[in-house]
Amino acid sequence: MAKANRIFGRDLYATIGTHLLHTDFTTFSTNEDGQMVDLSAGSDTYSYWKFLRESTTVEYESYFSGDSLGSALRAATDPGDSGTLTIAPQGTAASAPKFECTEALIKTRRIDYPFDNGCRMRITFQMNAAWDETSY
Amino acid sequence: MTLANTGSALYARLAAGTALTAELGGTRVYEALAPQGQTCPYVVYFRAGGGDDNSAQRRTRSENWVVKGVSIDQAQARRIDALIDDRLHEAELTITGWDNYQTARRTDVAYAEPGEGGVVYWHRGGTYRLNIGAQ
Repeated sequence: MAKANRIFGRDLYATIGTHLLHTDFTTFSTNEDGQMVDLSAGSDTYSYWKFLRESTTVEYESYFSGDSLGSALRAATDPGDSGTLTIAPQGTAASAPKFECTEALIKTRRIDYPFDNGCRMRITFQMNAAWDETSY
Repeated sequence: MTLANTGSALYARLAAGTALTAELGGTRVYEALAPQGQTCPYVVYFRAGGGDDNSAQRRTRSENWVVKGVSIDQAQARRIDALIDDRLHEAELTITGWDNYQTARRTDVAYAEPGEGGVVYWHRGGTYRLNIGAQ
């Protein structure tokens, strides 16, 4: 596989509202879960399921910056805050894929303060609308 | 962005230590090698590993530097080690274009080197890890 065809985190672009998320990030994970209903009857040999809807969460981890950009991001990501979440794994060049939700809720935020390393912030975003894939 | 000139930053930090230079009898602080025939005591420091973290889009580096005193007097070598530690452990070095967000002593360096005529050169110091991030 050509190197140019492999997607690297180094190219990723991401924002929540007007705040950049990619500057010091270490990991992004998107989780698209299908919520299912068990339709199995008691006498069924196998289980049967019906898809109801999708629920998407995005987990984000970054170094926790003490500068003004980091402070602004922290102020904008209290649990319960929301905004448009955009993730572009290959950057913002024309035709690059773009994932977006117009209302991403901050579900959890965790900040670790290790004695011997840079502090890190972890946020779980809960999508409160469609998680759409388009392109630039 | 240019690569970090960490060696110069270490020199500046050590040379500005008046207690250290008083113990050395001058600014006897050298990167990599002391001049041939250099009178003891002196401090020598050199890069001993580390490099780019490559863990985020912001470029960060973790560099390990050995910084040690060399003396023919074991007790003096230990004093120099302590004075180096005073200058470097949890200090913030000034490195053009980079933020030094941690400098911390990691391991100790202690050994004796036999010289001519029965002289023993005592080496005492430590390995310091410098965490730096591009501004």
